[in-house]
Amino acid sequence: MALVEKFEFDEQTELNVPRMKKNPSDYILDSALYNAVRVAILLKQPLLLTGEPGTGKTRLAEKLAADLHTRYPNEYLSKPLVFNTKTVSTSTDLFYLYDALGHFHATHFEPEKPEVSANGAAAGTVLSIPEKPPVPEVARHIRLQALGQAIVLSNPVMLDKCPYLPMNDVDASKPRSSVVLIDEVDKAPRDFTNDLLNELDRFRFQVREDGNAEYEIGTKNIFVILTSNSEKNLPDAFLRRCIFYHIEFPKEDQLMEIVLNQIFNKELDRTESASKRHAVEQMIAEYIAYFVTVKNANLKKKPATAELISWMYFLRDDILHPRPLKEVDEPKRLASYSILAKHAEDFALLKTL
Amino acid sequence: MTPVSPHRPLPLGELLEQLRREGFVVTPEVYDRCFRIADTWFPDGLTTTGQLRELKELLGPVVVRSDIEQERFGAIFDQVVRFSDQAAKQTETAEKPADSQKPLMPDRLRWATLLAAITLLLIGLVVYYLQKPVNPGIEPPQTPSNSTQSPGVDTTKRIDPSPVVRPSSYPSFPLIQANPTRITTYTRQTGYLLLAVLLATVAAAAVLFRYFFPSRKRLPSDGPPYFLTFPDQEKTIKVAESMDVWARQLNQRDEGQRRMMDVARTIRATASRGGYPSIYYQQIKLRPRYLVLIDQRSTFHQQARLYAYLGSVLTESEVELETLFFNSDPRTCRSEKYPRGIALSDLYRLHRHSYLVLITEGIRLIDYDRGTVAPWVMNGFDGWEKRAILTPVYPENWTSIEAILARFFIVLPATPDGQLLLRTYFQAGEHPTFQELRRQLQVNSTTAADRGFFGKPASKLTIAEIDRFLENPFDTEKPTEEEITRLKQWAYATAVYATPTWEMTLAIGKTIERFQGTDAFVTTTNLLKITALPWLQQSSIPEPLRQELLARFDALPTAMKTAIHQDVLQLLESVRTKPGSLAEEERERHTYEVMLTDEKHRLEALRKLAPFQKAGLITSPTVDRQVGAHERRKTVAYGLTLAILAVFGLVAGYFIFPETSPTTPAGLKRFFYTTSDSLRADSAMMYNNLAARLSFDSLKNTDFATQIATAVKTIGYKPANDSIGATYQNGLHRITSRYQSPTGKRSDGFQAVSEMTAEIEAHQKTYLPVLESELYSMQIALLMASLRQRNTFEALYNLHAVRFQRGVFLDSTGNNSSRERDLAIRGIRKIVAPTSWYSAPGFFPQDSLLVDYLNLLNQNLQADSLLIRVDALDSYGANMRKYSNPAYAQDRSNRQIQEIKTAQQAAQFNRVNLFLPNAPRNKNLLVVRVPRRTLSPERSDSLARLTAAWIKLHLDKPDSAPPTIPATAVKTAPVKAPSVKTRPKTIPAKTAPTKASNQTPAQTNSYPTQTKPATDERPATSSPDPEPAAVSPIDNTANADVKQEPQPTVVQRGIPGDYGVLVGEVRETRMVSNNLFLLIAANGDYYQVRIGNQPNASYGKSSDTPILAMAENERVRKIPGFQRFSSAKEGFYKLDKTSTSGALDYLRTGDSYADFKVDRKAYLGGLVSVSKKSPTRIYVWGARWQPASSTNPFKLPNGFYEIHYVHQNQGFYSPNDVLNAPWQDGGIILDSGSLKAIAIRFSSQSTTTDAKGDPVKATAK
Repeated sequence: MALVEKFEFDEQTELNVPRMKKNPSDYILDSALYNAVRVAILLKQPLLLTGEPGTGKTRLAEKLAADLHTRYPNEYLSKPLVFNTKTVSTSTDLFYLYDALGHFHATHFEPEKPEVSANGAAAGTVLSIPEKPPVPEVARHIRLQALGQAIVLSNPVMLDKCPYLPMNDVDASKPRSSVVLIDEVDKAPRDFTNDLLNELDRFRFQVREDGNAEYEIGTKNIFVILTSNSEKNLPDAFLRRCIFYHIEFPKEDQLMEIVLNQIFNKELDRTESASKRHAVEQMIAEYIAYFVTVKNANLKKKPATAELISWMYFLRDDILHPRPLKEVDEPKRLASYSILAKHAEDFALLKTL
Repeated sequence: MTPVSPHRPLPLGELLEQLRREGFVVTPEVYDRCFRIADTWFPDGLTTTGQLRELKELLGPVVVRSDIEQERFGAIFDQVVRFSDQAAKQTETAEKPADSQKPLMPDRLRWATLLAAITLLLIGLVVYYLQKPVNPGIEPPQTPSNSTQSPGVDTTKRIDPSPVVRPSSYPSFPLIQANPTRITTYTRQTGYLLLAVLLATVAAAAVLFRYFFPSRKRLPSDGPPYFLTFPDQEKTIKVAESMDVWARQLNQRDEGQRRMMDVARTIRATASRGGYPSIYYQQIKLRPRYLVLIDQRSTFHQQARLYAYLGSVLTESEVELETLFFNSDPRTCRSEKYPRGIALSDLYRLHRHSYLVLITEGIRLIDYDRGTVAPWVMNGFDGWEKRAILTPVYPENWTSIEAILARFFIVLPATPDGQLLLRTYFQAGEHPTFQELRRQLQVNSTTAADRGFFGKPASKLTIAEIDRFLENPFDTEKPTEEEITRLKQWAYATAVYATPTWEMTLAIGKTIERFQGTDAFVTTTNLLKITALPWLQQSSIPEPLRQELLARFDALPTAMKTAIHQDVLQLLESVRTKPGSLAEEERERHTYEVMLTDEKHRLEALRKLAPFQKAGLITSPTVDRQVGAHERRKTVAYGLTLAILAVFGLVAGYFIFPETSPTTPAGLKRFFYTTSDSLRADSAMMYNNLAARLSFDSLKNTDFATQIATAVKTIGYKPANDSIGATYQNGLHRITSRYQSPTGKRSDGFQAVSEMTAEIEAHQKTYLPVLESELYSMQIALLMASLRQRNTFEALYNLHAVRFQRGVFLDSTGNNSSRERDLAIRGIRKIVAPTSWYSAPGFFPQDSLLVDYLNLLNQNLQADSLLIRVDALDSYGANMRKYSNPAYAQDRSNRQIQEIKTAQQAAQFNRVNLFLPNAPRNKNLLVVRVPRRTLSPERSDSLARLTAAWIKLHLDKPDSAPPTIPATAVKTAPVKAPSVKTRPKTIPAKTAPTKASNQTPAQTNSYPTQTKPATDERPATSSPDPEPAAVSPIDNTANADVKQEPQPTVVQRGIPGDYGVLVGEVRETRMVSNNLFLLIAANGDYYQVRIGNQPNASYGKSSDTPILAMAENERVRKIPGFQRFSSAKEGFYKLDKTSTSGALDYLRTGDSYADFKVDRKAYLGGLVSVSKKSPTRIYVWGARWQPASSTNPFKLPNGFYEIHYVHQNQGFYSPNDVLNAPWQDGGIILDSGSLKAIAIRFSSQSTTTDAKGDPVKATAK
């Protein structure tokens, strides 16, 4: 094996290759999923999506938000409000985060707080209960999370009163409907999902640190999409309140479509020759077939659609100049395998395939 | 709820109901949501097909809870929709299952029909071939067996009765000989019977075989589903209280890893420290998570199922539990979520923070070589801080295995008390040692005990050990004796179902629970014990153990047993299987095997299991043996049944078909009998036949004469003139012996014969009248003897025939008076009457009248009207009633009605009371069994013949119109051509010549005309030609005697007999009644040539004179006929009636006849002279007769020929013109050195004829 002295990249083809963009419009939506979303919207219930990693659960929310925004630009946010569940998440984390230490620090070690007072005064004025002493400092240490944001955004009254605004990336100038994505909900402890039940039912929360200030859903819609990798079982009571949809791993033809949509659309459009286009499609099909073989092989960690796309993206030059996988440069091919295989053993297995 | 649709309603209700049945959680909420969806998107129902998919996709997310459910939902939805489609359309698919089952019966029927058809065909074939050998038997052998004949009677010659033929001119009643009785015996063909019985048995065997051994060999099924999926029984389990406690325990929160600031405490502390910030945190308490790995050695491992159930119970109690299964080796675990298994490392990744609980005996986790836990266990489970093993083994039976495991795991027994310790140990910081555990579990023995109950496989367990195990309670419970008994019952009852399953165990437990009237039997606690039974952890019970358990089970109360059987079968019944699937096969087999343990259904089960056994599908050797034994028993029973059937059939056959059958076997019986005919002649017949043959002629036969003499002596007949008979015989004998003795034999045979005949005639003449009466009385005696033996038709007939003839004979002799005649007639009546009414040993009435009588009796008429009719019947002579009864006349009305009633009654039984007029008073009533109305042909024939004879004899006036031979009698006794032996009787001819005139109607017209011409020389012109009249009698005799001769008819003209030429030597001449007779010998044969007129008409009377014409020498030689035969040998040559054959024709031979000189003075007698020294060769043209003639001037013995028509045979006038033909003239040529031809014609004959031989002028000259 030859040794390499230092890193050198080709600027055009390697180093500055544009990041693979995930465009919501590339998302392929099958009718079942579409109908599931319709039901969820109709019934105003959270949609629980399960499926193997990489089957596009997360991206559905983006797609939905984008589509809604396109249709009703003034009504919907263009992006979903995302909450990434962690193993230590609690239900309040869905609504807001309270920076206790910062608050403590601020109260003790920051005597001067002109801005804060201004802010606090401003905040104080919007408080609905005048006799209750305002806690302007607290608001600084509370940050709304996805669901909290959505609730506040949905209610014009709350939007005016809420001291925790502005939010990041969100135009809070007017009430909006929103799509909330609670990602990987099964990651959290069981308590999280159990607590979630009520919150999702009522779309209401209290800020305990802020004198139990209550926020409630307003006139606008909130569509909640939950995803789960089905690593753990979710409580029945929780499932009962959701609209459930399991996204199957796409079939070969669907994969083909996905790949064409996400990676090759523009390139293929550019190549005029129909025969060339056909050859490329053939090649893509071949690669996908290989991928399916790999996926069906007894791997420790199975590659998902995301891996396929990455892998194809990595090999797209070879595909565009139709070159079967076996004829791809050995190092490049092996390198590509590391996209698919996440374990040493899997990698070894791939080499034998 | 469901929107009404003009197109098609949504199948929402059915769908949700079906989903609920399939185990989906369908809450009212789900209903609500689904209908909201329907209302929103399908307010009009489904209008397009695409909407169906949409509906599915919309409803799915609402109902399903997991990806597995999502998949199933799709299937169920499709199914329901299809079903509702079909229901709506009422398509045939719903009927298809019914169709597929239906063919079974027609199939069987078709088989039965086919079988029956084959059997019938076989029987038909056999019957067909059976009949064939019988057929020849039906043709009776014509030769009677000698054994049945009376001695001395040569019956072989008398099969056809040869009547004694009387002269045709007499009214004759030829006596008839009795035919030997044909006795048909029907002998049973035992071989055929046996064959038939065997055949029937085979047929029965085939039919029974279908019944006993239906060929329903069970084809091994291989379709899915492969397993029996019993309905869930777990909801019947009563969860013990300890489980709640355990659940609460397990749910106790742990301190989480994440801490958050305890604001209140921090502020308080900061304040107390004078503002120095002192921050306190509080840990967030989390509910603990458990990862439970259950050792499940097979899908049937019931303990594993129990633990899984316990797990689900805990989950319901909000314990956060993840249950997975492994098979001995926990490195790969499985669950519904990971059907392909999940590696331990992956489990660790996902459940790192959980408490690990393994439920296993842990045997495979140990490295026995090193006495530690296996290295992979170390590696794999090390990650989990808290890990425990729940072992089903009781602490008392813990051994080193547990000791080793205890070094790495917290080892606890999977008992209620052990479970409760789990949480405690998890929370305790330290890992307990084996000793601590034992102490904790109160195991006191210092040494490690053996594994005891848990160490033994099911096959080595004894009932006692099982009992002991079940008697041993958990520490926390205090079971009563009764509870322990129930537990044992449960254990025993599990053996009912041969392949234990979790659901079955629960169902059985539930039955016992219900039967014992408790509500806490199928509890988790009890299940912990029951599922510890080794056979419940595998899919089968070792056969010996099962039998032992079943023996114990049998001791249970019958009601309980019945209940258990019922419930087990019900559970099996409830399993949904698809026909043809492996599961279906399993289900059936198990059902029958369960039934096998039930005495009541044992037989049925054995029967139903047979097809399985044939297919080799039975796994249990015991069941296999039982079924096999049953099959063998069945085979034996089958064989025995067949044998009994065959024996019974044979015995029945022997009863139904006796060895010999007296009557003609009808119908089926025919096939089993061979018919053999035998002719039997008894003494009655012998006497009758002797009487029939008795005649003068026959007496010449010495053999016969001796026979007669013997017979006559036997019957005790004493001849009135014995000496006369003897003298006659002796005389005859003397004469014949003299002529036949070598010394008396003369050289001139012919002369001798005629002399002998003459002597015999003379002899006869002397004795004849005496002999006649002697013969008569002998005949009567013989016939009476015959009748004494047996009342036969023939004897009776002969009797009255003989007497009748006698009467007529007496009459005709002239000395008959009217009184005598009346007496004779009365006598005849007396004879005849009984024959027409009665016959046989018992008398039978005339059948036709009897039939009428019986018909009357059976007509259900009023007695009065019946009486009138019977009277009418009696007036015909039916003689059905008692005339002689004195009471009859006095009390007529009562008596008659009574009688009629009796008769009616009797008639129903086919009996008739007959009155016998001539019997003594006390014997004159005869109860006769009436022959069935189907009379045998012989009987009815004889009756008919009798009736005919009777009518002719009795009703006709015997003197006014002498009866001819009864047609019927002639029919049965046909007149045979007279044989050499029988010669026509001359006696009547001599005694009654005058009567003959009006008895030969054929001649009556011609005789008066004959008188006129007398001896006119001239040819008769005005009167009819006498010659034809002379010819006619000849004709007549020919008709009577020569049957073979063609009858002259209008169409076939010409003379009768064989026309031809006789070449021979003249031996003798004789003139008889103006007729010249020549005796000509030709090559040893004698010919009697007659030249002249009719034999019995006197020459003088005839109007015709023969006209002779002669030619000599050279002229004779010109005759072509002579030329042709001049050198011919002696003999008779038949000639065709043509010009070339040598036939003569005086008128057509050209000049040959013209040369003949008519010699009117020539004397017929002087034509031929006989010289003994130089015999004259003679050529005679004429017609030859078979030997039969009443005139025999040369006394020739029988066998001679006659030549007639030795004259011109053409030119006859009517009515004799039928004889006319050319080329058939007769004539003589004599060759005695010189040649001399003589042509003869009658004066009435015309000398000019046409081509047909008829006279040219229509009338005589």
